[in-house]
Amino acid sequence: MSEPLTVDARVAARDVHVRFDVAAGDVVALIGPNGAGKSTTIHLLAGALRPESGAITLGPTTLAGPHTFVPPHRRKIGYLEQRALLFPHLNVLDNVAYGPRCWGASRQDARRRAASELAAVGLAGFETRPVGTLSGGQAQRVALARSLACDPDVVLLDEPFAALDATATPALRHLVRGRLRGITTLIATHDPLDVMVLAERVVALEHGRVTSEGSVEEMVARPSSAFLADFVGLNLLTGRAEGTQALALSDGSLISGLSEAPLPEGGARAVFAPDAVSLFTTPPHGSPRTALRAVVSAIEDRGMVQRVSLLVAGQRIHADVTPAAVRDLGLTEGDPVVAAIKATQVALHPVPAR
Amino acid sequence: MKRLAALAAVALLTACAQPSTPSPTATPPARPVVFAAASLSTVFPTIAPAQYSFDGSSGLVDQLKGGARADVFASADKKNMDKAVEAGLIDGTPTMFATNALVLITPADNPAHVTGFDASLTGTKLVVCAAEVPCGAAATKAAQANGLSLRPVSEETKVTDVLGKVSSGEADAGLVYATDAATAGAKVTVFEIASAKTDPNTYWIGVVAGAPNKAGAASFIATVMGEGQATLKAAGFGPPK
Amino acid sequence: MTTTLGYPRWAVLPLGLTAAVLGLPLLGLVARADWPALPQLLASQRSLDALRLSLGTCALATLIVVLLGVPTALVLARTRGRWATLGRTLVTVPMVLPPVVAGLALLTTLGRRGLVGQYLAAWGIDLGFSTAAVVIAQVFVALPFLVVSLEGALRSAGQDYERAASYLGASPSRTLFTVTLPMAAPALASGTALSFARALGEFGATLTFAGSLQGVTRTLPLEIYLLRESDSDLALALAVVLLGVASLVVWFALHVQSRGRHE
Repeated sequence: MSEPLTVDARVAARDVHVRFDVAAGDVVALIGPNGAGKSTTIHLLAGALRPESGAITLGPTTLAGPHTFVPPHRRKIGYLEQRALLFPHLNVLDNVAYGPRCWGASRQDARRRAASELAAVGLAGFETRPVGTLSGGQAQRVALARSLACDPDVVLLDEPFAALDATATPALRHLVRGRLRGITTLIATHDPLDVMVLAERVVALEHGRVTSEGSVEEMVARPSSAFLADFVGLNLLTGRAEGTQALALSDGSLISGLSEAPLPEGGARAVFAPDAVSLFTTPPHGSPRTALRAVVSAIEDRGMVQRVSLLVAGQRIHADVTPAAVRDLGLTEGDPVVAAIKATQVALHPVPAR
Repeated sequence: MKRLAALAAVALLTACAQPSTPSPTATPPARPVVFAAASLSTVFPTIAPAQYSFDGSSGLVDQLKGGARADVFASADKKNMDKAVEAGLIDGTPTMFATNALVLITPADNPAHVTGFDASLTGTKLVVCAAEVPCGAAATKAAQANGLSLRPVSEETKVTDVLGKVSSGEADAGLVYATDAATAGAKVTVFEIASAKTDPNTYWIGVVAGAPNKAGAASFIATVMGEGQATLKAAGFGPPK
Repeated sequence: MTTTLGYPRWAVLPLGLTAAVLGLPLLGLVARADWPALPQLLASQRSLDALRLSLGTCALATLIVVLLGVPTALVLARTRGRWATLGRTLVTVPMVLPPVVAGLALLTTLGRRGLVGQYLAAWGIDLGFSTAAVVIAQVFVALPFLVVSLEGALRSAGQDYERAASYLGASPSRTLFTVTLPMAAPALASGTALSFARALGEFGATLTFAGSLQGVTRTLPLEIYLLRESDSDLALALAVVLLGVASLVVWFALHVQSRGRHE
């Protein structure tokens, strides 16, 4: 059902030449500055664009090559972009049933399938609603259901949450995570949270070329370019779920946080911003904060703030603190400190699993 | 065509020259306003200068009824002149100033081998005027006089439409006035219709009741009845009976 | 929902003049008609023949217009460059052509001695003076209305929804029938109605190209034109009928268009 993807495609007019592989069932984030070629890559995979040379294969099938080109409607792709693009002349159910109908399902089967997809995105009961009455988040859920209803071999997400208001995004992101399990997926995004919540691997593009490739953890720990370092911005600590609201690091320390749903057993990630980290010389008392033992590895003057790089149980995080705090604590490289983080500022996510 | 162009050129010259060199026979204080049948549109301006308005005779009667200001009304048939007289639109008695006989025309090469206004018309694409307009009434009369029952493929409102369809070769034959046939020149072959010649369509002219320019109107009519007759004859019209 | 912007107060004056220029002649027509005698006038054989012929030929012409115009509009809306401009010019020109010129164009092309007509005649197809000629004349003048209005709508709608359909597995034809046309339905309906109205009013090209024979080629406008010569009461009565049908059709066109805009 899910297939590995290999891409080696060149579009000279846009100076894009991308080469990367996606293992079957992997979720890969495609990141890069504006104009780096993310959308071009997505369009190449969707079939909206034909590579001038090279080849794109999905499992045993060549989607595009020197002598072959499978048009978009013959590719089994699920495509979700910023706008839901629901057909305004069809109700919610018929929008979702559209794909299965195209692939030959009877009207009845298509509707049955559509109803179950709608239920899976939490919109049971919305079947007969005109699409014009949906909120942005609901519309995007319907679009997700619609793109998954025809059993895609690969799912392409192009900034799927960029147009939603901030309150609708976390729930939808969580939903997408659940629905994509086991499906080969490529997600082009500007948002580091998308990467950390949804992706296992990252492909970074700059100037139309792949500049780095690796696991999300590797990218966060050792960003290989200024863009990646800036892009990451957020701290990521990986450990194992401890109960449903906390994560344990390899040195046994616990991080409390919030999660969309109770954490399942197994790998988990804690995501938090550098300015959510406070530094102390001794553990603070009487506070509901996570206190982690850390070692200062570098201090970088960023003008308004000082960025302190820390090693916590072998993983790198950053803390943005005031120059006064650095002075008062007398911090220098190699000093042990306590990094305190409020539980409400830590988001916990399961490690994306196949 | 050449002739049409020549006529038009003369008309233009006359029209342009008029203010400085008025015609020697007519020296009206101002040009009269002449409402004349469309079939007179090429010939009248070469006879005398005036402010012309050409249209179908019945349309002109409607305009006069509607209060249009005119000095002279020239009708292409008796019926419409009678209508005008009845409505009190004409001062005094109108005068017949020309006749125009119906003729049969075919395209120059006569593809349907028509031999005249006779049985050879059967099965051809014959175009006539509708019975509602004067040339159509004349066609009906001619058919009766010759014991023919016409089966036209089209009954046109304007005689020029009949002429156009024959001269373009779209129709095999058509019934038009001698004057119309004359304008088509060598593009059509003309067959005279004896009965029509003895009972032609008559043209009438009269002064419009309450004409603002009565003197101009009278002198215009005098010109048409006098030296204008030669011009009318050259354009295919017959003399008044 | 914002309130609509107002207009300067002086705009009312030209508006009034517009209403007078456009409205009064129509009002005059309606006022002059002999209403009590209308049913009897319209029941005459020639009126019924003209009305039946007009509605029949217009319906057929409109059907042909839709069959030809929809794919044409689609291709034009999706094409860029010199050829597309040329195509758009070609479909727009008949709209601005004087009716007689349209008739002459058809005559010199499809007439018995015309460019194409001479070969048709050799095959025994003779369009002149036939009802088919009326329909052709109507298609010639009405087709541009559909193509222009539908092409504009398709062009401004863009292709995002069609692309979405193709990713869901819809072939280009399926996309056309299940997404493009349903979404362009208001423009299609109003374009169709306008085409019908234009075909109904077609006069010059029919007169020049098809001739005028009761029940065969003499449509409502030609009948009115002819009746003006003899029976102006009946001419007025038929004019009122034509005005009524045309108003109804145009109202429908504007209605669906505005509904489409508000959705």
